[in-house]
Parts: sequence; structure tokens; C-alpha cells
Amino acid sequence: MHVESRAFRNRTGAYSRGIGCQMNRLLVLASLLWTGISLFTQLISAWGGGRKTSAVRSGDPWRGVVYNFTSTMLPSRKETASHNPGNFVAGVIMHVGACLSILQIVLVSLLNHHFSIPILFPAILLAGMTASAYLLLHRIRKTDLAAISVPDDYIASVMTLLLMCVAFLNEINSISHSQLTAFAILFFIYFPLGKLRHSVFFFAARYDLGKRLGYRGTYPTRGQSLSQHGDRSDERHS
Amino acid sequence: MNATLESNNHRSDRVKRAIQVLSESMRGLAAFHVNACVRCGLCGDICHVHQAEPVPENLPGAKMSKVAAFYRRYHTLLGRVAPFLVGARDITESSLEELVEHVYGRCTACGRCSLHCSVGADIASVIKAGRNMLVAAGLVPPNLQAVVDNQLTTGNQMRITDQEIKDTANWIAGDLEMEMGLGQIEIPVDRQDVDFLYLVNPREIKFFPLSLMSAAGIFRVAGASWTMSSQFCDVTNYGLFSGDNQAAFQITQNVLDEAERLRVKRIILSECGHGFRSFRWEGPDWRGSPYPIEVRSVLELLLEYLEKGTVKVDPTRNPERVTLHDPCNLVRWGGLIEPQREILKRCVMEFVEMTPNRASNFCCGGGGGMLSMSEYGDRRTLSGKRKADQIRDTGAKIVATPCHNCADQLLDLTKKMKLGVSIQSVTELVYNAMVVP
Ligand code: SF4
Ligand code: SF4
Repeated sequence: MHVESRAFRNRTGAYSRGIGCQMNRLLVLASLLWTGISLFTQLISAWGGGRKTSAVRSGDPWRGVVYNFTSTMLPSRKETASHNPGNFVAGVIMHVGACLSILQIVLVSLLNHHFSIPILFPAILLAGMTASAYLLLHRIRKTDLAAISVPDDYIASVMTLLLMCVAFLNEINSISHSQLTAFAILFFIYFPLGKLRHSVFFFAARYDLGKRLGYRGTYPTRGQSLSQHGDRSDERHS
Repeated sequence: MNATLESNNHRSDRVKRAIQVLSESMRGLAAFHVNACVRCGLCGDICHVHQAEPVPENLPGAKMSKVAAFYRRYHTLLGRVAPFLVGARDITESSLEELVEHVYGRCTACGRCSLHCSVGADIASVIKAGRNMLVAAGLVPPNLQAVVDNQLTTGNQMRITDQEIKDTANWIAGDLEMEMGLGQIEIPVDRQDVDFLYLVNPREIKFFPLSLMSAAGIFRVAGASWTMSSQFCDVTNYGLFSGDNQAAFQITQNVLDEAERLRVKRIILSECGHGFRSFRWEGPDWRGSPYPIEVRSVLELLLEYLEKGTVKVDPTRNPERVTLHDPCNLVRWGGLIEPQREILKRCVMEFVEMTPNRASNFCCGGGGGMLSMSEYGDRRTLSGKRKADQIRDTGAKIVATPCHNCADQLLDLTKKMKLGVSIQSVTELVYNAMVVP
């Protein structure tokens, strides 16, 4: 596999090393710091010293945590996934695309470095954009989903879609360094304010529930069957 | 004029209390989960309430959002400066009143959605935080509050007097003597220095004595040394349902004090989902310290009897097909999943699992205090449809139900949805199968 790693070159062909570019870089760094500090502060405040439990445990909290980060995330254990395979696949693709885009944008805007695997990366980003657009349309078109959505949901979706567009344009060398950094700054400023913060709280939530249910012996579950289309009783003992 | 001012002051106090309790309840628990939800809306068909009545308000994510809206308003930057952007809402008298139906009337806090949420958000914990807040605002539905008050003032949810408890114990013992032919049988009440204090659901005393009778018969054969209490006999704890942690703590502590007075070595809980969860898991946290005494479910005790051979059973005495209902608070939130299965496999000829089962089982619709809130009675029955379908699909004739609350709801469903099954406790099935020496 051919891996491409080079200093960023904008679409005019010039390497980005000017004073303006240094300034941009500082601004990106500041917005990244804002994101990091803000998310960290929010996590600490949500944690608020945590909760101790005084009950005698009957399971293993750590096994519960591991279980909640592994098996329960698979469609075979998670009905939101198994009942909505299209959304599940779109969600996975979108998240892969978003993570790759963030990595790309940070590398380019901050370190002036472009890292890519030709064909693969653009393909992932294209797929991510498609998935993201699909999920946005889904939110708009599905009445009950639209009913529970707030402006932040649409902003976050559009931001994510744009994020991948920017990363894709960067892949095909069609965006200037300043455009890219401007978007990066905007994106990282918004990141901890709205629901994009779930990227951190997802881990906190899964950790918390996994630990609690592991402690009580509910997790890891064994022998449990899920709800499927055409449910039937499939376990008999006589 | 003065009256208006007074009432406004009163109102703002109520709102202030709600704001404070919300942040306390959210900390270290629910706050993680509100921030994790992405409002994907995929949780609809996970919830039995939404399945029965598929309106946006019944989406688990939507119910959680009702509480989250308040949290965001006071604990997030955008919620403070641009609330409309994140759907944040002020806590006011009217917004609190509106919340009542969402957290009490549309959700049994069963937690099924918590296990299946796309991101792993524990919706039920957030709903609980909402209930905590409404307790502080004095907005618990009156019928639910009445049960909590009964427990606090009389020691049990049905206001059964100590004399009634003693009388019932006597006549059940008399019936047992005749049925078992083992000579004198006693159902001890307020006896000191015995092995365990047995807590029951008051409906076992008042309406369905078969369950208590079965337990007493089994204890007799096992040679157990036990007692009931005439003061604090109740295994239930409606403080858990209402979200009143202070009341829930007091109810638990009353029983612990009674156990100390009776100088018993342990407490055995009759079949009760939320009773098990309250005593086994939440109680020590309400107290802030571990119990000085062991607390176990009667299911664990029964399995121990069967495994040790203290009680012998003949499964041919339960020839009909039996299925098992998994009470949410016993299984999902209590972690007590296999003992009841092990027992049934020994005591009945044919045991069939429902699908889905164990931690993924559906709530019967009667949890979360729903049975006591008559204002939501129609929705309660309707939301039991999924459970009724599950039961029907098994083709079972008996539904073993290790929770008396669930049993009430299942009896109701059996009648209204013509299920043609009998609802029995696991203890009753063990008693049926027991070989009397
Ligand atoms: S599945 Fe989870 S993340 Fe999605 S709306 Fe429901 S609660 Fe929120
Ligand atoms: S806790 Fe149970 S009743 Fe409440 S929203 Fe979730 S699945 Fe529905």
C-alpha cells in the first residue's frame, strides 16, 4: 500500500509557511485547546466526584466495562443496531470518516503535514460524506425524529458533513490552507458546545453503565436472546 | 395581594429546590448520559410503551430529553446563552408540571432502552433524576405518594395492622398443617434470635396468601428458623419508584432496625423485583454505608435448598409448560438472573424461555410505580401488549413471576388480553413440586 506523507501544499502549489499561516496555526491550536479544556471541564463537572457504592458486589465491574465497550456494541447485542441496520452501518461509516477527517485536518492545519493513503482515504471520506448526508436526510424526513430534534442536531450534522467535505477537498488538493484552517477553528470552537460532545461522553456513559451493571452481575450477560422480527421461544428445557 | 406574593414565593422555592436537586441527582451518573445522547431516535421499538403507542413523546430519547432540557439550561454554556439552539428549558412551575406525565406516566424506568441505546446512554437514570426533582417540587402523582406515605407511617404499603398480620399468619399456618400433614406448623411473627427475617409483599398477606403459604411450607420442610415482623413486614419500597431517596432510605432503615431488634442473622426478601433492587443495591447507597447484615432473595435461598437436597422436588407435579417473566428490577437492575431458571429447571417438566429474555426482557408495563398511578391505567394496560405477546408465543400455561408487582400487572393482562395462563410465583411452583418427607 502506498502511503503518502508530505508537507501540505495548497492548491496554488505553494507550501504554507507564511506569517499568516503561523497565525492560523496558533488559532487552530487555541481552538483545539478550547475544545480539550472545555470537554475536560464538562467531564469533571458531570462526574462531580463520582458516586461510591456501598453494596457488596456480586459481579466484576471491570468485566462489565469491557463488555459494554465490546459485545454490547455489536448488532447481535444491541437492538438499535439490529433493528436499524441501515442507520447502524451509516453511523459507523460516518464516524470512521469523521475521525479520519479530524486527524487529517489537525495534521494539516497544525503541523502543516499531509498524511494519506491514496484511493483509500478519499474513498472513506466519500463514503463518510454519503453516510452523513443520509443520516441528516433521515433526521429531516422522519417525523418522530424531527419532532425530538433541536437546532443543535442539524448544526452538528451539517458541521460533520462539512468536516468530511473539507478533508476530502484537502485529499484532492482543492482547498487552500487558510480555508481549511478557518473551518478547523470554527469546528473546534463548536465541538464542545453542542451534541458533538457526545464523542467524549459516549465513553463516560458506557464506562459508567458497564461498571454498574458489571458490579451487580448483570453484565456480561449470558444466554440472553434479543428481540427479533418474528420473535419466538427458542429455548426449552424439559 | 399578600396571598399572591406568598404563593409566588412558595413557587419560587419549589422551583429552586427542583433546580438544586436536579444538579445533585445528575452528578456522577445521569449527567454522563444526557450528554451522550445524540437524539438518533432509534430507541422507539426497544420500549414497550412506545411499541404500544408509537408517538414521539414515547421515544425513550424524547423522555430523556425532557429532563435533559432542564439540565442543559443550567449546566451548559449554550443552554445558558442560547437555549433554543440546544432545546434547553427553564425550570418553572408549569414546565415541572408538564414533566410529571413524561417521567411517571410514560416510563416505567425499566432500563431496557439503557441496554440498547445506540451510544449506551442510561435513559432510566436520567428519568430517575427527573423524578428526584419532582419529589423536591412536591409533584409526585398523589396515588404513588400515598403508597410511600403508607410505608412511612404504618410500616407497609397497605396499612395492614399488626393484628391482621398475626391473624393471617395463624390461619395460613392452620391451612398448611392440614395440607402437609406434618403436625404443628407455625408462621412465626416477631420471634427473636432466629436465622432470618422474611419480608413479604403486603399483597401476599391481604390478597394472595398462596405465596406466603408456599414459602412457609418450604421453610418447614427445610427446618428453617425464621420470623416475620408485625411492624415492618414489607419487602417493597415505593420511595424507589417515586424518586424520593430520603423516604426510600427511611423505609430500608426501618427494616434494618427491626432486624436488629429481632436479632436475626439475615434478611430474606420474598419475590419482589424492586424490593430486591432497593434492599440489595440501592439501600446501602441511600444509607451511605454497607449493611451490618446479609440480605438475600428467597430465590437464592430456594436454590440453595434444592442444591443441598434440603428440599427435594418432583417435577412431574408441575406437568404443564412454564415460562418465566424477568422483572426489570430483579434481573436488569438487580443482576439476579439465573437462580430462578435453575429452580424452574428442577421443579417443572417443561420450561420455555420468552424471547427476548434475561436482561433484555420486556417490562410487563406495571413497573416504576405504574400500578399505583390509576391516572395512567389505560396506558399501563396498553403497554403490556408486548409482554402479552411474548407470553402467548411461548404457548405456556403458567407464567412463573418472581415479583408480586409484576404478578398484579400480568393478572390484569391475562384477564384483559385473554391469555389463558395462570400467574404463579416461583415459590409456589417449588412448593407444588416439593416432596413432603
Ligand atoms: S438510542 Fe440513545 S442516543 Fe439515540 S435517541 Fe435514544 S437515548 Fe438518545
Ligand atoms: S426505561 Fe423502559 S419504559 Fe422508560 S423509556 Fe426506557 S424502555 Fe421505555
